[in-house]
Parts: sequence; C-alpha cells; structure tokens
Amino acid sequence: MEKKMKNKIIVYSVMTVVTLLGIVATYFFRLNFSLMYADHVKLDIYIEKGCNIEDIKNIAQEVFGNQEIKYQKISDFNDEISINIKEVTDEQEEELKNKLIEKYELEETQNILTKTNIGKIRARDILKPYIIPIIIATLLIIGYTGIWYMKLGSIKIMFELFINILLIQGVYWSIITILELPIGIYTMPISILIYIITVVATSIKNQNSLENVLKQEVET
Amino acid sequence: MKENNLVKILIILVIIAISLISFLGINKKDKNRWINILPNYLLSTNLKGARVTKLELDSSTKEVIYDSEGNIVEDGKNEDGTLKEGYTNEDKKVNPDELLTKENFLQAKQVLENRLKKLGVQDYKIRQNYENGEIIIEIPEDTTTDDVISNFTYKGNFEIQDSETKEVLLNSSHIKEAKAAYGTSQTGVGTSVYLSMEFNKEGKEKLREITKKYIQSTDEEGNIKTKNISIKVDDQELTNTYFSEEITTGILSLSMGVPTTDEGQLSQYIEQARYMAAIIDSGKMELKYDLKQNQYISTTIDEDLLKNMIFIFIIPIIIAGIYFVIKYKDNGIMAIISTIGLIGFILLTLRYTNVLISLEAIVGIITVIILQVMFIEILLNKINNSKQSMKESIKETYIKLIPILVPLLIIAITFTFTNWVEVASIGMTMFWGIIIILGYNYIFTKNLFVNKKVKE
Repeated sequence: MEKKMKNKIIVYSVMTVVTLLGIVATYFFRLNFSLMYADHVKLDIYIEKGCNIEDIKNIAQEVFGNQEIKYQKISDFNDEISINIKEVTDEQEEELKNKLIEKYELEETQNILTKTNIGKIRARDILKPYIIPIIIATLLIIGYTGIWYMKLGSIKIMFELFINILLIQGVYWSIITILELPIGIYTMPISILIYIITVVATSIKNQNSLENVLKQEVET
Repeated sequence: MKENNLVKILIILVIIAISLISFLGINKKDKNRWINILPNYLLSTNLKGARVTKLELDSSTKEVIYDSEGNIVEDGKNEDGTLKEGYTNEDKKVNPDELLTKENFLQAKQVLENRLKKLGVQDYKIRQNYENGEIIIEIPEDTTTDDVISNFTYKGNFEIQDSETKEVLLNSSHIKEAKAAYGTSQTGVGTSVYLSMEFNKEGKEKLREITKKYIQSTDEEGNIKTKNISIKVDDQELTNTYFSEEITTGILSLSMGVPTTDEGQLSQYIEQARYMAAIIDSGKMELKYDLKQNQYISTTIDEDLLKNMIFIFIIPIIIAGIYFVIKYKDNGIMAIISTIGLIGFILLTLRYTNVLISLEAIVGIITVIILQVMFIEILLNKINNSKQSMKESIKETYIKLIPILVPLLIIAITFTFTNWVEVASIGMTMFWGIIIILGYNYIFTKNLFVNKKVKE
C-alpha cells in the first residue's frame, strides 16, 4: 500500500513538473502550427483545359524541393488546384509559372497563377469552442463521481478525478509545446480522446475500489 | 442445444448482413449506373472541403460633397453632373489611413465572428493577416452558403436619420438586440415578418422622442404634412416613414416584405429579416471590406486520412481480435464478430440520423469501440471464471459497466447541445453508440457466447 502511494506521488510529481515546463515553454517559445494552420502562401493554379493533380505535384516538387506542400482541389472541375506552402520567392513563383506554361502549352500572357498570403489560425480560436462544453461536462462528472462513490470518500475521489484530468491534459499540451509538435487538425480530437480515456480509466478504478469495499462490508 | 446453435447462426447472419449493408451500402441500378440508396454520410469541412472567402480592405475612394457651410450633403450635383453653386467636393478614402490599425482589424474579425454565430454557422475558421487586415473565412458548403457570404461585406452601420436634414438620430450603439419575428398580420390575413430592434436605455428614450416628433400632422391651412425618418444600414435605406403613435417600449418593429400566406415567400422574408438582424446585432465594423475571392476548396487530408484510419481502426481491432481468440478461443471469435457487427450498426445509425462525421466524431466512434471491447472483456471474464448462467453474467456485466457509462453519457449530452458542430458531433456519435451498445449486446452479443461450465 505504501509503495503504491509512493508511486502515485512520483507519477503526479513528474506530471506536474512536465505541465509547469510546458507552461513556461509557451511563454518563451512560439507555438508550432501545422502548415495549414500557420502563416503560409496559397498558389491557385488555373488551367482552362484541365490539369491533373499528379502532374502539378511533380512540377511543384521540382520547383520547391523538399518543402512541405499541401494540395487542394478547387471546385468540382479539374481545372483549378491550390498549392499551400510555407514560403514562395518571386523566382520560385516565376519558375512554377514557366513550367506550367511549358507543360500545358499555354500562352505566356495567360494568368494561371494567383498568390494569396494566408494568415494563421490563433491557438485561442482553436481552443475556444471546446472550453465551455468541457468545463460543464467535467463539473457534472465530478459531481456524479462524488455522489456515486461516496463510500470511497467524496472529496478525495472528486479531487483525484479533477487532478487526473488537469494533469494528463497538461502533460499532453506540454509535450506538444516542449517538442514543438505542429498544432493542426488532429490536435483537438486527440486531446478530447485523452480526456475521455482519463474519465473512463478513473471510473473503472473507482468502480473496482467500490466493489471491493462493498464486498468487504458484506463479508464483515 | 440445437435451438441455441440455430439462434447463434441466425444472429451471425444478421450481423454479417448489417455489416455488409453498412460498409458497402445497398446499390441499385438506375439508368445504367449503380447508385447507393442509403443516405450518404454527412462530412464536416475537415473531411470534405469548405467554401473559402477572402475579404480585403476596400482601397477605393468616395466623392464627398460639402455645401457652402461645410456640411456633408448627398444631393450636391446639378442635373448635368456639375456641382451646385458654392458646393465643393473631395475624394476621400473609404478606409482612411488613421483607421488602419491592428485594433480595428481585430474588431472587424470579431464582428464577423459574431455575425457567423448569429447566422447559425456552426463550423467556421477565420484567419487574419494583421499586417494588411485581410480576412479569410472558411465555412461549410450547403444551401445557405451564398446567402451567408452575401452578409460579410456589410459594415453593420445602422442609423435612423432625419429624412431631410440627414441628422443621425439613433445608431448602432443604441441597439440592445435585433431579431427576426413574425406573426399574424394586422388585417388578420396572412403572416407578417418583422425586423424587431430593441434599444438600450438611452436609445429607448431617444426613440420615444423621435416617435413623438416624426409624425403626420395638419398645418394651419389644413394640408397634411409628414416629418419622416430614414432607417438605413450601410447607406442602404430599409424604409422612409413616420410614426403613427408614440413608442414607449423601446422596441421598433420594421415590416419585411408584405403579409403573405405563401410558405415559400414567408420563409424568404424570415431569412431576410434574420440576416439583417444578424448584421445589426453583431456590431459595427470601423472598416469596409470587399469580397475578393469565393471558392470551394476540398480538404487536404484525403490520402493522409485513409492511411491514418487504417492505424486508428483496423490495426487495434486486429490486435484486440488476436488477444480475444488466444484468451477465449471460440468465444474470442464470437467477440470479433460482435464488435464488427456493432461498428456496422453504429455506422448505419449515423447515416440515418444525419450526424456530421468529423475527426471529432471519429473520436466518438473510437470511444464506443473501446467500450464494446471493455464490455466483452468483462463478460467473457465472468463466463470463464464462474459457473453462473449467461443471464446472470450479462446482468453483472451491465451492473459493472453502467456506472462507467454514466460519465460518458454526461459528456455525450453536454457536447450534443453545443453550438459548435464538431464538438456536437462527438456528443451525438457517443450518445448513439452508448444506446446501441446497451441494446445490441443484450439482443445479439449475449446469444453468441457459450459458458461451457454451465449446462443450460
């Protein structure tokens, strides 16, 4: 029992330290966003007679090398494709245009490339829609846990659940910040999944403890 | 024993049939091509694509005409287009340089965000370039998209002016709330639609004064005179009218369209009122924007998502399947069949209940699969380690699982009622998933497993 308690303290301490490091890191280092969520350049390619995404990919890789590129189809017609890339120099833009003209045998005066600078999505805008539902759900779950597992000590159980949720989310976000993992479309879904697994795991542990207590009561 | 086997075979066949229908659909030949008659999945913008619009600051200039006293006038030109005598003009930027600040850029973004919420758009992304104020908005593509976009470029400058002098009597800062309303028309025939504006304390008092002053009256010679007000949004006149009675409630209702019994026309008027209310209620932008780009763009994640789905779904199910078969032998095989059947049922339900499938909804599906694996593990554990009847084992499994399901049900219900479609989609998938687990396992799963220690 003592060893279990000791292990628990070690785990919670490590999680707290990691969370605090993450908070500090957020102030000193900028968050890293995935390409589509960060400031980037969008090049819309319009080829009137139609174009193939594989051909565009090959040409883009020749011009931009190893830079990360995301491709999007524009509209349902196969004549417009969007390239999303971190940075584009004027030379690269010109080179891309020339290669496209060559590939599709177009006239040089045709306007086939439109460049747009896309601003980033702020971290608070990503988090905002989730905060209130998670707070409300957490408060209700803590309340339920306190009532259902009263025999195990309501305050202790409620506090443990709250700390588990807070620290595990803290560790997740700290890992993202410290390791500069890109924040993108998967970040929030994974955070929600971790939140749900935390709630389920804590509930299973509490349910097993409650069953043991009830069993002991029956035996005595 | 034979009866039990028959039931088992029947259940397996039903599960296979439901799974095939769910994963492959029911295809019917229609005019030389095969079409799936099942409802399609509704995909979110992250999985399908979005309408992307780009708003740039209006860099144009506007001619401003001053009368001889230096007052701005609207009608300062003669019929031949020349300025009236004593009048002067000046070309002024629509967005003066002193207004091009980061604070105003952020304010414009906030107003647009308010507008999107009030227009009922539950899935959007807004990005802003803080150097030049450009805004990019991504919203889902549906039947209302074009109407929503048409409201982006309004500044939201609401004014009640004296019709003659153009003096501004009330403006956006006096409005507490604007909304669309409808009811039976005053004549009793048809339904009337209104743009209802409630004013704040200061506005309520000013409105009362206006409604006492801007009325129809008769002069000393018996001629009828009206003193009119003009209600405008962004220089677009909504109405030019006078008041027949004093308004003390602080609520001004403007008719939109004419009383109608036609449902189609009524819907149209309600939509117009709703959009105008959203523009007025969202606040006023200091800056004027132009719509520069408006295009449907597909998602980027087609290929990545397909590969990730394999890791997220198939590999864990294979691992769980191997575990079950090794530990529980025949019952382990039934466990795999049961889990696949459950996934089939859930996916079919999501098709018919129009739940939006987003990455977050996939989290909901994963949660339900985890719950099913837990259910089966608890049940098979009880079967293996006791001589209880199947009925008792199932009962104890439910008793053990339900307290664990309650917090998840709380999450599901709380999230379902959120005004953000991606969060709501987790709630809905989890809600349906939990309901299906409870029913599906009671009807199907319990008849698949055998407790060889008990002779039933």
